[in-house]
Amino acid sequence: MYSCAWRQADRGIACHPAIRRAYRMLTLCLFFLAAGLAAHAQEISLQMRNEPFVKALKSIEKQSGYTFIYGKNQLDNTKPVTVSLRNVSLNDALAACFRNQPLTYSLRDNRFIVIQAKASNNTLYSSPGEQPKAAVPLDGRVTDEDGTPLPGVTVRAVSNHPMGATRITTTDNDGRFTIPMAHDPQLIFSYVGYEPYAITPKSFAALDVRMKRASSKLDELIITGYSAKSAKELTGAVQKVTGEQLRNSVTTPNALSMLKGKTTGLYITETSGESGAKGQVIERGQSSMATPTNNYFGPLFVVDGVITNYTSLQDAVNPADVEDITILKDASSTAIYGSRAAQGVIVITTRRGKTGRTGVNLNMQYGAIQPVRAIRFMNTTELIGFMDKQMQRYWEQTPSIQAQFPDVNEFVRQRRTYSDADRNNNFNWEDAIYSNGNFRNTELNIQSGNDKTKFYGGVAWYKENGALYDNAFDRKSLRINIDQKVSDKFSVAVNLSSIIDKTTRRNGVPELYMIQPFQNPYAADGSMPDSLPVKQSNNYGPMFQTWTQNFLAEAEYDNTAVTDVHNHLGAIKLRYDIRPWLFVQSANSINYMGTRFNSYLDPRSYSGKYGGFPYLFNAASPVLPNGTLTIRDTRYTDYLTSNTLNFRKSFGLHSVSALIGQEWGKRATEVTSADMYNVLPGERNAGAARGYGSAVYLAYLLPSSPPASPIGSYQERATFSVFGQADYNYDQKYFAAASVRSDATTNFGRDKRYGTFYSISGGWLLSNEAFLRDNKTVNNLKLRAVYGTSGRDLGDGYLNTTFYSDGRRYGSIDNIGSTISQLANPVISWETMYSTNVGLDLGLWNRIDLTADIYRKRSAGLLQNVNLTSAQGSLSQYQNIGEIINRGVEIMLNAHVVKTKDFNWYANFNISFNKNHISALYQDSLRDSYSNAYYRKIGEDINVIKAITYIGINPENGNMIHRNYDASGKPVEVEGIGSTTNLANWETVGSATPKFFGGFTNTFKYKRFTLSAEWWFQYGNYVMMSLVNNFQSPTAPRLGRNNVVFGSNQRLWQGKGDMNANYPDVFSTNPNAWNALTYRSSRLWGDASHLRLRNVRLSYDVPDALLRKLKIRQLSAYLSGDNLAVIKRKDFVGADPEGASLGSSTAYNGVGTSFANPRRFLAGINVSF
Amino acid sequence: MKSIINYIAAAGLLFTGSACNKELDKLRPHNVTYEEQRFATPEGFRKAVFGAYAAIAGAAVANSFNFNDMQVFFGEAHGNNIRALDAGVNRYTDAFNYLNSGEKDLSYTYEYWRGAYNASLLINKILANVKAGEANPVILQAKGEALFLRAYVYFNLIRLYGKPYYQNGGNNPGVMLITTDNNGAAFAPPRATVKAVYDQVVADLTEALPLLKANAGNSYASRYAAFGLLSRVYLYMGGTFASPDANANRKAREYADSVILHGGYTLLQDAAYTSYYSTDAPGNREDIFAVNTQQHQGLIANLFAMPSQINYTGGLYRPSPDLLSLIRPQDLRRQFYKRNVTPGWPDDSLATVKYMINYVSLYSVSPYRYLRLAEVYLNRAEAAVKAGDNAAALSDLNVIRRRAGIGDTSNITGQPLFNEILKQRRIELAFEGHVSFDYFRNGLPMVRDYASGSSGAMTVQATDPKILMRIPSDEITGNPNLSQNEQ
Repeated sequence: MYSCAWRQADRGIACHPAIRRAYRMLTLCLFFLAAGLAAHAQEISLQMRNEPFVKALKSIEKQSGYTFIYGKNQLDNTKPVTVSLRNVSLNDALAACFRNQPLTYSLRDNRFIVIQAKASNNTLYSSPGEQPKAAVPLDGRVTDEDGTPLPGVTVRAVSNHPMGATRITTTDNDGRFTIPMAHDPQLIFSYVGYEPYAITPKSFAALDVRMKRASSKLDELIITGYSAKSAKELTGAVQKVTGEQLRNSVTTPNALSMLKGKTTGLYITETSGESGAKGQVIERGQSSMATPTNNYFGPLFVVDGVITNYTSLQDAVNPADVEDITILKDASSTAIYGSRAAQGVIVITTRRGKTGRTGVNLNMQYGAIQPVRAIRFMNTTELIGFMDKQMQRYWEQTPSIQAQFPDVNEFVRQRRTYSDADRNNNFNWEDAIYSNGNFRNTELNIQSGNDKTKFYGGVAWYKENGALYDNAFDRKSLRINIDQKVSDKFSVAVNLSSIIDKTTRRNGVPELYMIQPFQNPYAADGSMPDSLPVKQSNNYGPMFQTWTQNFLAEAEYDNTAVTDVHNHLGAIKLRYDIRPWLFVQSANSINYMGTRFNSYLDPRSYSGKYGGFPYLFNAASPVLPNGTLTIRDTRYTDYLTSNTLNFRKSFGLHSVSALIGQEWGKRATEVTSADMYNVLPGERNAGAARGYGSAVYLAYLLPSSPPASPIGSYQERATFSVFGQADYNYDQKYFAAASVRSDATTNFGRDKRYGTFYSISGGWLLSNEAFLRDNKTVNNLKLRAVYGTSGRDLGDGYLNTTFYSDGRRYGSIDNIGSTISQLANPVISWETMYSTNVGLDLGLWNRIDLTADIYRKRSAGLLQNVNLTSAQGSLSQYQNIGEIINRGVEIMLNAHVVKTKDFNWYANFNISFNKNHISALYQDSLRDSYSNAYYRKIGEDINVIKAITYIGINPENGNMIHRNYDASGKPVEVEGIGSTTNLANWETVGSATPKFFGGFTNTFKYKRFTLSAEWWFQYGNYVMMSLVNNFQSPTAPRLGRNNVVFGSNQRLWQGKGDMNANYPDVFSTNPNAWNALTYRSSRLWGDASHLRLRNVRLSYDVPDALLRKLKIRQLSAYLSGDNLAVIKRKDFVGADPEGASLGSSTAYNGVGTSFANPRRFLAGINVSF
Repeated sequence: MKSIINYIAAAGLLFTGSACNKELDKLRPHNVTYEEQRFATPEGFRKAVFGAYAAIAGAAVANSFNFNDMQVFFGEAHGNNIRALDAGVNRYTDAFNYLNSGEKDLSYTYEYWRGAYNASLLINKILANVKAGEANPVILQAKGEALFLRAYVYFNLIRLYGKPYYQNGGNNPGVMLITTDNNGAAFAPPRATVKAVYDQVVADLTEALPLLKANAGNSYASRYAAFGLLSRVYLYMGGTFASPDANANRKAREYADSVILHGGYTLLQDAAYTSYYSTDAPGNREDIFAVNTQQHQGLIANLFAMPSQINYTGGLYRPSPDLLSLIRPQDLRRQFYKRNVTPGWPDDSLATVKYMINYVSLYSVSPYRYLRLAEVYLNRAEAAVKAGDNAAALSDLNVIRRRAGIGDTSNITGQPLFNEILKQRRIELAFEGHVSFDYFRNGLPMVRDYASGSSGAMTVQATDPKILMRIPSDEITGNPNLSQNEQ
């Protein structure tokens, strides 16, 4: 269209553009005037059709700030002006307007333009000795590497003539452009995400330009909210991890585990080493509190633009299908997700087909799993020695026992809980329960694409036999992504994903502490009895015996708990391009996630006969379970439609993009659950059961008990939202963005239903400024700042209403009573997070990239289930209770340390610091959820751990010494734990969250070999070393338990004068000794700081020459090892320092003796055809 | 034109908003009933009343023990009928040791207090939803039962948290008296006086009397249950033996008369009496009001009857040597104490069988016999002796003595007669939650001349601040207008 105007001017012929074009131009103008004009006055735009010359001058004056100086009648003979200029320089504008006029002009003092009569008839463009040249239009088309047309590419014709004009146009929907050419200008093509391209055409033949996708990090496209931006356009803290980076890491079906250590701000905990464990992630510090209905406060997961309700990355995507994962950390990108983005957003983009690329890729892995446990349980000799010593010490300390048994050996002989035969019976249960496992993984994906259709299909099968006895995980996944161009303007994207996970865990496998080493699963003749005796005694009374199942003898029965997760996500995205710069998009998705839990005990097995509770039943029980079956079925069905109107356009150096949209989402949750007994052998479906109820119900069955029946629930919730977003940048130097979103949810009352969240942000790319543009040292420097809000609602709905629930009966089973299950809170509303982020991106020597961010997040109106005082009726109720502030610093450093032809060394280091404190409480204090023994006050960490401070061990008697405070507030040392009711005695131990954490990865490439090593570290979080208290207690063995061997870091008090002890006398009957060692003592809280070598990987790429011979495109083979080493605090006691999750009432669960992350070794090949 | 249509379509998409918002209103919670719906029908009132009964019979606000179990236990904990086996200092022995802690994990006071006010809310909701001039008999019956239950809740609270009525003319701090249902988050009432609470209890029972027309058995509030409770309430208001309140004692006798003469209850005799506690309350002709625990897995037998070997929850209690020494061998009430009460768990110490119906494993469905005819006789006897009517008092006392198989007594009057009435009351109602109140309301000390696992012999005067439970600390924190029972 601009070319049209120019042609007219050059040739003096009127141009008659189609009405459609006029309309387009007008619209453009409006947008331009609105967005561009004010920002930079030195650019001139003029749209004139046969209008007086003076009008053109006025307009230029207004836009440029210059003043024209001319004589009174000087303009009399001027001709009407017809021009169409957009964002041109002052010079160009003047040249255009003065063409064919009898006047010329000159600039003075940078303020005035003096008009004088033309000296000659020469055109302005002529220099002495050169013939004037007419501009000739040149047509062309811009596509990407794959031949896909690129609309909206900026094309500039920069004249090499000193007075030459720069002309600008943009490509249309089909990538076509027309630009007038005069004085052999150079054409420069620029487009976000692509490398700039320059050419000086030698002829006027139609030009075909193929732009290369930028390899520079700055130009990477990053999905933020509902739109994609290039890295340099970002104004907030956003990090992207490519699928390649993810997959070159630990091997797991859980992308969360792969993500660990690769980004800042994500605190990821792998809670268990069991197959199929999902882990926990918290983004930028805990900023919400767990509630009974919503203990998830991790980030929101968005899969290919679909907002999901997943609470685990493992469910959201199979790692093989990941194109990239983007972590959105501050309001600049999360505010657009509104109500559910307070805890950050993780955006998953899956792989798609690309035009012109067809191929098949196959990845196969096989590996072994080795359990790693830093603790060990006692063997028979150790356990008997321990018990004997304990009995001896008990005898010494107990006169009444001495009176009864004058000979200590007689006491031991009579009251011990093992027999002489047991001494020679040692079975290593640890080996039986935790043995080596294995896994294999096969991934196959196919890509193809042409101008019209692009296709990606991926299938994968992961199967793991875990290191825990009969613990397996099986994943089958399928993904199909299709992009179809229906017409020039209409395109459709279809995403279909199915993931079917099956986790199997054997029932009846005891915890190691529950089984004594002298219980031998094999009889003397090698056969296996179905049950094993548990020898125990109470208070040193005579030994008595109960029985437990021999789980090894039950291998032939299907006594397992199977969790089947069926996860289907389908989305269809329709896009219609109204204009090259304007499109509407409608994304619609259905997400179904069904979890079926089926736990079975075969009636033929010992476990099944007694329903897994051999101590609740015996042969004489009136009724026996005879096999049990528990079925729990949870279904989530989500529907989401999201419709946006998107605008994106460049006006010369100005780029504006904006969108407005609307979204409606609904979730239905249905739970059905039933416990059954008296089940047919080998049948694990509801039809095989003859009775409803659990084994425990059966054991306590009263004649009047109501019959057990299936239970269930159904819940619907819906959210409606409208939102808008605008981004602007000038010359790729200055960036600004704003967004606003309003959500309405059924969570709150009609009046409090609406939450409006917004953000504003800005960025300054200093390296694009003239003073840094060609700097050899600094190749990228950018400053960013953001302020904004996002929100959180709850899983529970209708919190403003009082409900009655039927259920509690009185007197007779038919007298069903109704009680209040929820008391209305008419004022409850959104939890709102206010966040500020300031960041810096720095690139040096094209070798080092540094990103640093500082943030502050204030969560106000924290939602918590609060116990009401009795004046309100003593129920609990959701209320907005206080505020938390999280502050942190994050630093990410990437370096290409050594750069030579054959050898390259890349290093990545990232570290995240986070500190949080309660900044306001609407009530006096919060009770801690773990012990209920102390309060959290303003200024304290939300995960504060308080205990009575441990001072040491009394060398005289092996008792513990703790610090208490007397009535005057003076510290006093007391023997034992002292007073636990004096709240002043509870001092801060630390927090359950680390002070900082991060990762570092080194990758070495030598010719075709690549070696990488990935580390994770975290510092300063405390977890309860619960196994000390639970499984090293001297009373446990007498109750039929086994104990954890004391580690070399545990120096028990040995006797009078032992100054070296760090643990009390384990055998003392004094309550101030071992009995004082509970969660109340700071001694039991361990610093879980650690450093872990998560992965080492060596891979080899087969040379191209060989590949050509083999007729394959790419082939590599690799060896990898996961979880190879852990460096931890010397005095930490536990299977692994990792494993304590945050949030629930067991927030401070120690890792105890549970199964920590195992070690994995694998070999794999990756081949593409 | 086409593009204009496009714009309109796009705008239209955005304006579907308002329609979607209406969609939000269509959603509703499931498996629950809104308050308005609950009280829209007489049937709904019935259900709400059953809910209120369930609250006093079953789980308190927190888990662990039922509200009802704590009610029974607290009645005995400050007395001298029980001896603790548990040597630990913990929530199970806290009240027994007169520590009366206010902390949640050290005492049952938290659960009991909160359980009481939770029941109070359920009851107040029922009462608030009865329209003025309501004529529906089902709703009126529900109102009567709710009033009775409110009296039950507040009378039991005031006994535990407020000083005896005779002290300071009832003007000591009592408990929060809440008779409205919709109080909001800022509602933080102070403690009403002991007198105000007693007045409310009397008013509720009096208002309930004409409404309680149906008699669905002794698991439910009835006209005679209200009379029986009034007789006890007035007895508690009747002052000490030395300075009795004639008016209150007169009323205690009148209301006892109503029960004894017109209630149709009978004192069970002989074998029927010795098997009294192995039968359910419904249908039993001596019980006037007994909290039915058939649907609530009563746990009180854990404290009073569990064999010591199990040592399941700690805090096991046995009859005190003092109590046992008062029960003569021929006394039928001796048979309420047995060895080896739990099948399969031999135990050589005597334990009460009063909570042993269908005692399997942990739970028992024994009703909590809150009001029974024997007590009403003893109420009348005590009120009579305080009024100087020795003959009437002796007559009622001998009804109880004869039934127990220890024969009549005669020729005693005044103080010795009063002492004998209290002694028989203690034996008769042992383990039924009366003993400490009977001492303190009469200004008498509680004397333990025996040692327990967790505490030694002790004497507690009726004026000792320790006779009261502490209000839960959390409640004091949460309600600045509450004062603590400092001790």
